[in-house]
Order: sequence, then C-alpha cells, then structure tokens
Amino acid sequence: MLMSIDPAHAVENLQHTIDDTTGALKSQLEATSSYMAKNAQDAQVTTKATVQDVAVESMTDNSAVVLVVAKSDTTNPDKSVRPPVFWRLSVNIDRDGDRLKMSKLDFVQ
Amino acid sequence: MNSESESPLGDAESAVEDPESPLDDTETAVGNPESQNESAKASSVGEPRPDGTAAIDRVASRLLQHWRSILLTASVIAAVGLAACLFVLQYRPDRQIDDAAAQRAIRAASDGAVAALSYSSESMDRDFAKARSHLTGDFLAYYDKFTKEIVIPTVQQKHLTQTAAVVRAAVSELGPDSAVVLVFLNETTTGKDKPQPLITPSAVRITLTKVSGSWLISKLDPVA
Repeated sequence: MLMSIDPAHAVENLQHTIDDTTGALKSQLEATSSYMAKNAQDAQVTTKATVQDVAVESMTDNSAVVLVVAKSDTTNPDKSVRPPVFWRLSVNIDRDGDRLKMSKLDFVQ
Repeated sequence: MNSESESPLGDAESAVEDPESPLDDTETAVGNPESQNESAKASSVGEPRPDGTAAIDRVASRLLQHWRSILLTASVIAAVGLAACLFVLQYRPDRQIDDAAAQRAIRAASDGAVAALSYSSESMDRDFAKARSHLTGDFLAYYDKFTKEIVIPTVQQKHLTQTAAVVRAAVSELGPDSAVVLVFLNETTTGKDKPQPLITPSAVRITLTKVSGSWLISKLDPVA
C-alpha cells in the first residue's frame, strides 16, 4: 500500500486523503490542507509512505482500532533521497455511510 | 541480524523515530554505524545529542523541519487510511473467531516477546530458560544458536540489562493453529558503557503456532 504527495499534485493528493477520513481527523485535515499544499509546492519535496504491517486491536460492527507500521521516504529537490523513517501508528476507523474511513490517527510513543 | 547490535533481537534498525522530529537523524547517516545507532536511539527518546556539529545541523534544519514533518504526516495518513480500511474489510469475515481467542493470542505473543527480549547479565541462565519456554520449532533452534554465539557474549562483556515492555499489540491473522500478532515494544537497555537507560521503540511481527493447546512463538520479525 503506497501513497505519495508530490509537489505537482499536492492539492489532489491531499483531497484523496481527506476523502478517506471522517469526523475530527477530516475537520483537521480540511483546516490545514491548503497550508500543506502550499508547503509541498514551496518545498519541492516528494514524500512517499508505505505501509509495512497492519493488525486489528479491537473491532465492533461499525468501528475498529488498528495498529499500523508505516515507512516514509523523502526525496529532496536535488533528487537526493533521505533515509527512510518508520512510524508506529494507532488508527481509529469508523463507518461513514457504506464506507470505512479513518477518524483518528495517533503516533504511538 | 547485526552482531554489533546492543539489543540483538530488537534490531536497532527497526527503531521507530519520534514523530515530532522525523528527520533529525538523517544528517548523521554516514560514519561509524555504532555511533549512528546510538544517536538514532538517543534522539528517538528526545535526549540531546552530545555531538556539537549535529547541534548546529539541528538548528539549521529545524526551520525546515516543521513543514517537512507536516508533509510526511499527510502522506502517512493517506497510505495508512487506505491500508487500514482495506485490512478491516478483509479481516471482518474472520470475526466468527471470538474476541477471547484473539485476546489469548495477543497475550501469548506479548508475554513471549517480553521474555525473549528481556535479559540481564545477572540472571542470564534464568532469563534465557524462561524465554525458551515461549518458543518453538526453527525459531527456538535459531534463538538457542543466536543467544549462545552473540547475545550471551555481548551481554556479559558489556554488563547489559535489557527490559522489554509491550506498548500496544493487535492481531493480524488468526486461525485455529496459527496466528500473527503485531506488537509495539519499548526496549530499555542499560550497561556499563551507558549508565543512562536507552529506550528503543520497536515493532515486531510475531507468528504463533499452537503446540499441545498453547500458543508458542515460531517466528519473530522486526518490522522494517
């Protein structure tokens, strides 16, 4: 599973992300997306995230808490590549109509 | 596995960085691998690095860091959202297997991981005997060989004490005789070279096999 934000398509990339979220996380992203898109364009940095592993911590008919390990790779404007960074995440998923969407995302310390 | 690693089973490379400073350590990517590991671990728990030039780099890169981490976060959210939702959809049909069974698998994986990754130079024989009781099959054979050849000499030489603690754990696959559990651990290491405890966050994927009615670890992979 892979997703990237590249400067040329920052607005679309971010809109796809917002479409996959609901609740508080959606509001947060909507509030900051223009800021993020502008930064992506100014910075000319491409970031790519890959999910390494996923597991379900708990689940009901309409929600779930999922643990995720993700890896992010960043390419600088001069095409040099930064070493990957790994992230431990806890994600809440809620039913939104007929779709499952992300409602909360925490970095696990 | 890196024989130089201070925490042999909890590979330093699998360390998860502090999300507040995701790019901190990239400037020190070249050079002595041992010191690189140290600085990566140190900054992952928010301790200042003793290295003076790194401090200057930090100030310079701090200005750039803020938006970079926001971008990283956005792309991580996007990737994670899709994957997590798809996974939940796939996992759903397996829900007939009751939650109690899932909790038993999580418990077995957590206890086994803590036993396998906790040891002290003071009580090694007891620690490794306890760890062995949670393991099975090829992984047990590997663990015996690896502890004998690499872990025990390192632990003795450096007077290491490592304590692993489970932060979160969740089920990835669950069947009647096998299961896969994802465990987030924090490993705390002290030794004669490092009086200050070093905390290494890690994530491991644990494969369990049912042997005579109990779950034993048949595989342990750092996720990285």
